[in-house]
Amino acid sequence: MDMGRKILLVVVAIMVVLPHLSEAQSKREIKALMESFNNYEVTTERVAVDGTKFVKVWGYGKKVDAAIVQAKKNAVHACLFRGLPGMETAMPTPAIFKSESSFDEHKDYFIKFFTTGGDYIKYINVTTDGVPSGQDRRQVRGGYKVALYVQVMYDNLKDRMEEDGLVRKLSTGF
Amino acid sequence: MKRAVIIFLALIVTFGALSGQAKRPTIMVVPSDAWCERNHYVQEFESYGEVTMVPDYEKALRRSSEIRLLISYLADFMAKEEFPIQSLESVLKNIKSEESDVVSITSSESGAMIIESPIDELRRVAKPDIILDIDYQVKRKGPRKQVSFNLTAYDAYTSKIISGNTGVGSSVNAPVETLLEEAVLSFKDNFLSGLQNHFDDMFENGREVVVTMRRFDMADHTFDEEFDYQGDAVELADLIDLWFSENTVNGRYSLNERTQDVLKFEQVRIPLYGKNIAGRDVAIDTRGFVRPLVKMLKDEPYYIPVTVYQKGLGEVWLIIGEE
Amino acid sequence: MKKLLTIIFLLTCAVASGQQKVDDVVDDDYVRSSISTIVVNRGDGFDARIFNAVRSMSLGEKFDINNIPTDRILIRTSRSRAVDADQITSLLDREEVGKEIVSFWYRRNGQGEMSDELILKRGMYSLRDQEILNSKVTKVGISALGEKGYDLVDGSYVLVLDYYDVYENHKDEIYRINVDAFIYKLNYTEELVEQVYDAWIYEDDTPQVRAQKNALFESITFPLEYVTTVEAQGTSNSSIADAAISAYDNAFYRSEKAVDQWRVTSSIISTRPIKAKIGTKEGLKNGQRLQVYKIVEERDGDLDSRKVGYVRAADVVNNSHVATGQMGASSFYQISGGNVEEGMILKQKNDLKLGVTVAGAIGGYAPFELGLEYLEHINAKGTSRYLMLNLGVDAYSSESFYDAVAYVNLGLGAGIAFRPIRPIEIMPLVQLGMEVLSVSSVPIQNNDSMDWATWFAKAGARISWQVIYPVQIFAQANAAVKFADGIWYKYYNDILLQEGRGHKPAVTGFSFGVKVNF
Repeated sequence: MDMGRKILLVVVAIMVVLPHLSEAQSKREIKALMESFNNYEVTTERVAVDGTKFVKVWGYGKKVDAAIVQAKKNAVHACLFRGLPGMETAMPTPAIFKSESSFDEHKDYFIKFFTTGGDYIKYINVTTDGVPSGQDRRQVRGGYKVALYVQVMYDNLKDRMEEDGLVRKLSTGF
Repeated sequence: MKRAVIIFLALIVTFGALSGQAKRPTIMVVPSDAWCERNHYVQEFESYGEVTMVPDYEKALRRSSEIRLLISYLADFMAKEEFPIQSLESVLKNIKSEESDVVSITSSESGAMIIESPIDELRRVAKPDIILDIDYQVKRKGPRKQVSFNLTAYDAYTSKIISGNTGVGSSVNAPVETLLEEAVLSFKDNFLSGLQNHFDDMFENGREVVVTMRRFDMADHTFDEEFDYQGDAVELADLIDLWFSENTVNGRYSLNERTQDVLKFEQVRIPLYGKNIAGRDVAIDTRGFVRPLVKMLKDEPYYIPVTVYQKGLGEVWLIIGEE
Repeated sequence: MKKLLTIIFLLTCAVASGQQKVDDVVDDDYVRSSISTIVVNRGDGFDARIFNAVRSMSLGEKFDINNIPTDRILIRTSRSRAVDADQITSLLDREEVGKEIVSFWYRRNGQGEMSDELILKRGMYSLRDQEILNSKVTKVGISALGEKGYDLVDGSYVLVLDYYDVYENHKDEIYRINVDAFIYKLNYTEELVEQVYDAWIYEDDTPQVRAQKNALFESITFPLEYVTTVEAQGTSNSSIADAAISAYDNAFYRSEKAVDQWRVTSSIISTRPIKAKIGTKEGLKNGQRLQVYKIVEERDGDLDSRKVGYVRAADVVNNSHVATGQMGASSFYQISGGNVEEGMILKQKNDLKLGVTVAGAIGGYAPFELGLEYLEHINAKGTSRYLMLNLGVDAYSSESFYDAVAYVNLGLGAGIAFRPIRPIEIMPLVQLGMEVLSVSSVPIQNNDSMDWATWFAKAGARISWQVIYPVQIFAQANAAVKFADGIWYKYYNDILLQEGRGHKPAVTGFSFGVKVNF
């Protein structure tokens, strides 16, 4: 076998394997994303300005930065699927979707929506001063758990879901 | 196969377009009785010789900038949801101009004038589908103020509560306007979701109404009179019952009272759409719903005269034996 | 039954200890405290002097001052003994000092009218950037920022100073006094807040209602909670008033350590250099020591704060204004411990900034040296300025006159230490001092003491390695020269030089030692 053919073979092999590798990677990422959506805490902090929600939301990650990213995703996820609990001086906020199973019904859409740096980022405004600190930054087994103060653009998020045809508008049918 | 799918889809689309749209429910905000009483926006009201205090909405709207503000906050976000709120102010004006017509609403049965309370009057003139009953209180706590609120949305047809929202706002030293706005923002989404659930239920199970059938004293017919139905002798009440089971959404209704003089159908789920006289699909109301029943009773083989009275929005009375 | 009780008992213990653990967890939630100072009068001649001395003191920017009518209380006993806390407590209760504090906070006037002006003002001043940023997204936020002031009322302290055991020696100019500082805290519960609001007079209240509300306010008891007592002593060579001030200073230093709420906490916002948003407003001073903590969540969900190391304040920012959302930050230098990361907690842990050195030397004037070093300044790179006091002893038996001979030198100096890496300090230093020679058989007369002494100047370089905080080991190279020998010093030193053990005019040497910081 001459040199040229060897190189060609290697290149072909890489081309065949690479997409699978990245696919495997993203599958792992998706799995991790789904797992983190299963378990997070979110609380309402106070009644926010019109059309928005002000929450404190937790995220977990191997590194602090990853935990922060996850907390941001969780804030949006909570508004979409979980709803926000009320507090003494703020009523609870219902989820935009009626059930968490809506995530699975539109899985491709939401996997893309929640890709790191994806569209979810348009609907949040982090008000944490700098990085999470004090008791909002906890070292846990295998990583960090952090809390972020986040303003979620709830109305915009709802409009988006309505525009994308995933939820009905209040006036639909009339 | 593919063609079949396309045709099927096309059919659905056409059907959807043809079926038209249900009448968009109208919503009205009304200050609660408790609020009016606390703030002395009440007037004396005489009903059958008994004097009671009833809300004076006109005075409330004229004097309380807070309630006007609250209504406008609510109107704002409802407008965004494409549900313009009926203006209580203009409804009140209409009532004034119609005052003389009240006399015309009399029962031909007794000849007595029907005396309406202000809220009944409002419902009759404005015909709102949903009434938002709002109550709030600003409590002074030393230098701080705190708003407690209670917004109840109820179905004007059935008086059933669609969404109840009770809570308190921040206890701070801030202008009352800010606190009221905070209260509205606090319950807004919970309220909207209650409304959405109500509409979803309506689309799925129809609108809920009450149909009461009575017998005019002098009538020749009773509800236990027997008629021939496919060879069998069946009581009129059973025939009417059968009609309800055929014409309600998913056959949902309940016959709560059955005597020879009275039939009372409650939790009657009527479809949002029906056929008008011309046979076209339109949104229907309670009266429209019972029209075929009335026609059936008047026709062969029954020939029973029926008079229809609309009582509020969600209830009709059918009196048999009188026309 | 007995078994059940045992189980319940054990469970209760477990819960109690669990809570204890949570209580101990450090957080970055420091809020400003306010202080009212009360002096105990004993009905003697010192009363006025001590009171005026205390009045002249400023507690600095860290605390707000609650000026209440009761600024002294009288306990007629001899100043030779301290009074005990029970006596103080009952007097504070009788004088209704708690009520005075609450009245001060609410600016309650003669008619019983109150206002929240001061509360809002102090509340605004105590805000942190995080609170400003959060408030901007809330509906009531910006108009309600001053609400934090209500938490501040609960942070009202009373410092009762009882001075006793006075020593006054005008001839030798020695003045010494002891002080006990009794610390109390206002226990301003939610219930009390509600009661105050019930007694709040509104503009539209009728005279009858006003009278009722005033009676209600008078009936409320605002309890003061005893926190702790710290003892301290002050000395001066000018007056008893100065000694009283010095005692106050010392007592305050100890109080800051004893009252946990007075220890400033904050969080690290960046690591190169280490920065945190505290400064002059929190009374931060250059060189002040703070402990670094990280928060660990155990598997059972319990929180634990673990010590990471120590830092010292370097460049202190002037932040004595209302927060804007973009407050400046002070920088710190890490003096010990492991990896410091963003978001970790800083908690004030004052020390004296002193180090003690013990060294042995080869060459030089003294084979045995003791030193005291004070950290005068440190910058964000760890470059530190020290002031030092050095005591050297060279004692032995002379062969010439079969007598005990002792050279004792005392040097005052300064050094600047550079840190190429954190555990290593390289410090050039200079010292100027005096050495006294004594020979056991020859007494030194008062009037000729300078005849037995000489001056010396010393320059050196030290390299030290921090083995484990607060212990350093070091090696030092020195060169020293003597000048202006006294007559007797020169006489005996010359003899001893012939023996080979006298002190040469110029020497070089090495010393090795240990430094412990505290």
